[in-house]
Formats: sequence, C-alpha cells, structure tokens
Amino acid sequence: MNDMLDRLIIRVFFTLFTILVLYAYKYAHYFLYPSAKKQLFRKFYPSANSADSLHLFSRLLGLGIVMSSFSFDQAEKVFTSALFFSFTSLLCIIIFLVSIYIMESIVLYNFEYSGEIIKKQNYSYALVSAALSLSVAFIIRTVNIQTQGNVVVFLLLWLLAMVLFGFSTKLYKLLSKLNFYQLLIQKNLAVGLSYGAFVLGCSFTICSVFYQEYDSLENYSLQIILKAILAAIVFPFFRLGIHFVYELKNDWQESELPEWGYGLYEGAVFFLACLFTSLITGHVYFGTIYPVF
Amino acid sequence: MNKIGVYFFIIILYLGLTRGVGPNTMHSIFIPSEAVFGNYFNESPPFTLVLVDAFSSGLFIKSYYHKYRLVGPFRPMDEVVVRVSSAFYQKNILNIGMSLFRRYDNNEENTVPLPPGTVFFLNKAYYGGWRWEDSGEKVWRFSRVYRFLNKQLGIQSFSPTYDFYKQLEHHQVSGKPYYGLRSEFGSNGRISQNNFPSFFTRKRDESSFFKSVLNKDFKLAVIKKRKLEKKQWKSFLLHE
Repeated sequence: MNDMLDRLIIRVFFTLFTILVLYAYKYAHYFLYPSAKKQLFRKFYPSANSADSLHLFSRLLGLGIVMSSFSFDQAEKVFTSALFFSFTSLLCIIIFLVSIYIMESIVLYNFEYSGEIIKKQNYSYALVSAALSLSVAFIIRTVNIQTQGNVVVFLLLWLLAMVLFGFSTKLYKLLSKLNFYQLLIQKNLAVGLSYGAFVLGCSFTICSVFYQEYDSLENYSLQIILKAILAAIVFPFFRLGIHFVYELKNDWQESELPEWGYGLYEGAVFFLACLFTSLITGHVYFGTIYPVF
Repeated sequence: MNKIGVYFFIIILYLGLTRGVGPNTMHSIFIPSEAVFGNYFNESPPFTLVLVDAFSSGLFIKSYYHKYRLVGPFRPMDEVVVRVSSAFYQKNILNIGMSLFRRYDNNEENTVPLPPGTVFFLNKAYYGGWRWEDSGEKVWRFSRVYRFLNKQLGIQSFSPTYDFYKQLEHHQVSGKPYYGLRSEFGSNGRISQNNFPSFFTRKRDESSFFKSVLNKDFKLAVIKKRKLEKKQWKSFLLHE
C-alpha cells in the first residue's frame, strides 16, 4: 500500500512539473515571438477570433506532441530525473519554436501574424500555420524518440530533418495548380486546406524515414537521405493511383477562385499518398529475401 | 517534360547512391569463377578454401553468395562471404563442404572440387602419416600437433584410406570433382551434411514452409481444443 501511495504522489509531482514546463513555454514563445504578447499574456477568448484560436491551439498541440515523447526515468532519483526532464523539455521547446520560426520564414515570409491573424482573421493563413506547427512537432517528436536522450545526435538529426522538410515544402509548386501566395492573400480556404494537408503528409513521410535501426550517425543519415529520395520516387505512383482508381477529375478553372472542396480534394489526395508512401518507405522488411549471413 | 526529367534524375540519383553506399555492396567481393581464387586469396601455403554455405537473395533479381572457410595450419581460421555469379553458384550447388581451392607448399594451385583436407592428404610435407588400423586397413591421420585441422576442415574423425587417396590423386589430375568412395562429401554427403548444417537446414525449412505453417496453426488449434475439452470434463466431474 505504501509504495502505491508513494508512486501516486510521485506522479502528481511530475504532473505539476509538466504544467510548470507549459508555463515556461509561454515565456519562451514570447521571447521568440514578441508580437504574440496579446495572445499569451492576457485573457484569451477563443470565440473572439477563431483564426487566432487556431493559431494558438496548434502551437499548444504541437508542444503536447513534442512532450509526449519524454519520460521520467526512475532509475535515477526523483529530483535528478526531474532535472533531466526540465533540461530536455526546455531544449525541445526552444527547438520547436526555432523550427516554427524557420519554417514560417521559408513558407510565409511575405506574411505577418499581426496583419493576417489579428487584423484580417485569415483562416487560410491560420490553417497553414497550424499545419506547419503540427508537422514540425511530429518531426521533433520522432527525432527525440530515435536519439533517446543523446543531445548532440538529436541536434544533428533535427538539422537534417529540417533540411528535408524545408525542401519538401517547396515541392508544392510542382504538385498543385493553386497559386499559393496569391490565394493566401485572398484568404481562400482551398489553398489552406490543400497546403496544410500537403505539409502534414510530408512530415509523416519524413517521420517514417527516421524510423529505422540506429547503428552509427553516418550510416543512419545516409539511410535517411536514401529513404527520402525513395519516398520522392514512390509518391507519384500513389497520387496517380488514387486519381485512377477513384476517377477523380480536376474541375477547377484557373480563371475562378477555387472552392474549399477542391482544396480538400487536393489536400486529401496529397495526405493519403504520403501515408501510403510512408508505408512503402518505412514498413517493408526484407527478412528472408535479403538475410544476413 | 520538366517534371518527367526531374523524376528520372531522382531515380538515377537513388540508384547511384544505393549502389555506392548500400550495405550489401560495400563489403563483399565478387567471384565470377574459380579462376580468380588465386588473385583474391593470397594466403601463404598450404591453404584451402572450403565452401561452407551457399545462398541466393532477392525475389525478382537474384544475387548469389558463397561462404568460404579459409583453413591453413599456420593461420587462424576465417570465414568470408563473397558474391558469386549465377553460373558459378549453379556449378557448385553440389559442392557444399568441399574444398574449391588449394595452394600447396610448392605454390601450386588447384581448383578441382575435392574433399576438404586434400591439400594435406596429397602434400609431400609432413602434416600426418599413414597408419595401420586393427581392421588391417591403411589410413592417413593428422599428426598430433595438426589434429585441430580436423574440426576446421569439417571432417571430424574421418581418415582417408589408401583407396580414397588413390582416387583423390586420379581425380585431381583428371580435373573431375571427387566426393569420396561412398560419396561422403558434397551436398549429398553425410559428412558435409553433419558438419555444415546451415545450408541443408535452410533448404529443408524452405521446402516444408507451408507444411510447417499449417502444422503450427493446426497444432495450436488442437492444443486449444484439448484444453477446452479438459475444462469441460473437469466442470462435468464437479457437477457429478
């Protein structure tokens, strides 16, 4: 009975500690994004500005996704594991915010949060920003799980992941007929849905290439790059296959504004193709066909 | 056209990188035929290469591998995996456990498939000698100091008789493979099957794959049924 009660108290302690980390995130976010002061340090009314709600909660969800990869190792003493947890969580928060900053500088370099979210309530912009936050969170979570607490390897693999993700975001122009920047300025939902799903799909594919056995950093990085190139080869097959099997027809004329249904169709096809690609790149085990002597 | 060009470039890049840094190609040498053994294996004589295992991998495009055991009295035993050509693989499918290459003390090389240990049986130098058995048969045995070679060569307690030795000499000169007086060596030989079991176990498992799967599932189903029957019988007895 004593040990059950003791364990319960330790879990409550770690729960409070995690909430403390959430509090630290607020200040870290403000440090990197001073324009977000209103969003974080005053009372927040979700119904007042739905675009702002989407923007904020996507960041918090992203934080939650990143932190879900942490653990408290009771092989050490309670305070040592709490200290280690606080160090890794602080590092991951900073990495998460820096990643979002980098990706938004690459993708949304023409736009500003205050202009698009606060003044214009641009849902399309909020969708893209939310998708970027969640994508970056999934990638950081995967890298953290694979590196298992090794800080140097974590930083190096995070850089590699960011490079791959940055390249993949630029492929949207090749794959979609929608003019991203023009439609985003016009607050068109179709581009938000399409690009958001595309970016999420890319992050799932990148996560799948990271899930493999780690022996040495050099070999692991080479295998990641090979699998990423393989994903680029396999992806068009699934995209064409989905169009062919379900006889999907492009019914949008470039002279009109696209409906949100068109954006949903494009986004869903991208996302589905990425999910199937991650199956081929990450879940084919060659076992007895290519055994080891 | 631009997209197609980019796509083909990505495919070529992928194939090129895989060829360059893929794990299978990084470390294994390629042996097209027995003629190149002398070039790749520069061990000092006497030295023999025993074919321990043979494997093919791949589903649509096959690759073939041999595993050789490098045996010599003055070197540690070693095993090496090499990639071989399809023709060479098929040619040696019956030669598991045989010596495919020998370098004698006078630096003479021979690639006729013969039982392992031939490089010592036919050697003029002193690695063993002839003895008379109680049965009246004359057999060749390793000297005490070289007896560890029995295990390394995979011949265990086998001792060649004089008839065996004569046949061995004849086959080496004629260039025909020799599997022993009673075909003890090679893929169909008892001695090779006992001492190099990995190849034969794998072949047996492959041929009985479906049978083993069915057996496994069937056995599980039978065990579950018997457990249920036991349970029902126990509850019947309790009620009685």
